[in-house]
Amino acid sequence: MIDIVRLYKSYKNSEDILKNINLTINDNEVTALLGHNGSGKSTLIKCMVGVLKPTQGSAYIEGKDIFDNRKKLLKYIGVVFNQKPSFIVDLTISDNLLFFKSIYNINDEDFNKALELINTYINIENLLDKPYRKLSFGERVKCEITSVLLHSPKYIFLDEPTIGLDYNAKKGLYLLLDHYKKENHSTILITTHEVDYIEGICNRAIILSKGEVKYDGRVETVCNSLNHRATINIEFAQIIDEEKAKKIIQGASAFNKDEQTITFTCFHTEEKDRLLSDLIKAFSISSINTTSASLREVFEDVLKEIVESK
Amino acid sequence: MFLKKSWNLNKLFICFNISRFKMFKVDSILNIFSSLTFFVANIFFWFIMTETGLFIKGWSFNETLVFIAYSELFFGLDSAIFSMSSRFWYIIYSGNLDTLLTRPLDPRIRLIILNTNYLEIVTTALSFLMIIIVSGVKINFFLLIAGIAIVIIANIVLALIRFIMSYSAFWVGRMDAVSELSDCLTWFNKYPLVIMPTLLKIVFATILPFYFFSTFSAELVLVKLTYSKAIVFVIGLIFNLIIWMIINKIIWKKGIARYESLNG
Repeated sequence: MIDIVRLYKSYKNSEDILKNINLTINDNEVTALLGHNGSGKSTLIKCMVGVLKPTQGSAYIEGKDIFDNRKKLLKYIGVVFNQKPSFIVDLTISDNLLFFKSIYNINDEDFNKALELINTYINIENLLDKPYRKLSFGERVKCEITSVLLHSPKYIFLDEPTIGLDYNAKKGLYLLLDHYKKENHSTILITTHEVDYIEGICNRAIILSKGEVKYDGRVETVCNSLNHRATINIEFAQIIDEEKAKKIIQGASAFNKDEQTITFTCFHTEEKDRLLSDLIKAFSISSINTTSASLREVFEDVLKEIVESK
Repeated sequence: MFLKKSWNLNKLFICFNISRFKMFKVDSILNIFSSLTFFVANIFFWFIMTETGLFIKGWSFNETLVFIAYSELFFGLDSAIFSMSSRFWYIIYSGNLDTLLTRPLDPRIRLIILNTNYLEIVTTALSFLMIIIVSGVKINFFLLIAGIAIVIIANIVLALIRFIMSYSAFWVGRMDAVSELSDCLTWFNKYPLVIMPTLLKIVFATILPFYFFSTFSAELVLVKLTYSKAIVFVIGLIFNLIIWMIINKIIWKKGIARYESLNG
């Protein structure tokens, strides 16, 4: 179990990056840590794995203060910090993995089993003989992920693990994490900007904003907001039904009479369908363009819902 | 456990060094050549000094060769194993410490193991033995080994000092000058410190470890020290090792608590 108690973190000459964080992450829970750039996600992960010392409060893993007991707890932990390589650049991937095997004291059988398993999901076999320096960014990410999963850690922390990965690799990674969750009963914490991937694997979402926990609850709430929120831009040639058109324009988020464009924001599929059906009756439409909600809009929706429910 | 892990890692890296040697043959051969050039130039310098009558009081050319042997041993081991300790500041400054702190191998040990040049260790050992043989000085085997042990301990002490200087990056960030400054410390290895005034000799044998880099070993092997003096210097060396280990531990702990990383 991971416990974070009244945790604050500030840097020299700056205000608090994290403010009074109180969280308990239970065993075998998969949590998505969401938030905009600069919201404090990475700092929180670094405090949770003992890299940074909190200014106040503590983070505990298995009941032990992680900063004071980092060395003892490392064998239970696997951490990926995106864009910070831990590989030796002029060695091949297989040599690097042998190095990690040696520092984690993994026996040959467990090492081969873990490698085979990881390869099934994220396909790293073809990279093993290549020097690390010759790999693409996405391939390096795959190798980093492999290196932290070799010892089957009980706690897995992934900071933006999908940056640089293609669709198949992302999908493979989430399936691999699901395997670790089900078979190894691992506790996993992922920070990501890609909300659409987390629904299948995470049981919980935490949204950080300006260093504070603003939302801590079901991941579905966040994903529903993403799936159901859309912006529709319409360009029309002429108005067919004046009365209906007037009503529709009243509900629009933007209307430009000269350019003959209208913009709507919809929250539910039914609302979108009804709107489109009304639009066809009221306007002679030249083009319709639908865009999904941005992550910022999703977070704002979720946070607004919380405020309204209070 | 720690020793077993270190031994396993060293075995692994010996294999990697062999692969690297095969992969970068030209670079490896040039490295041997440059070491050889440095070594020949050093002997030539002392030969010219002696030929022109510039003796170190109480030291014959053959005895100076014994000093050079230990000096080469110190310098060789330093550049083959420990020299990267002065670059540790960059790992702190660049934020790469994040990933290293989350692996079960101390980042400082990792830096040293990863940069150990096993080929250079072999060439250093061969150079050392060759100069000792060429010197023609009759040497007690036990003292020869004791001299080597002193040089290795002095290397460790210097690495500890360099790490301590590198830790300043926790407070002040970029510390390029630290690398330069801590590399300068090996200059005290170039000549026997017997030429120094007594007060400096005492400082270099107590608070600072420069006397132990190669002068102490050479004096011990050449039986230029009284029994009581030798004992005092051995205590001085052990004191240096312990005190720098303690300082290293304290400053590392304070530094790591201040560490701010990069990118949040």
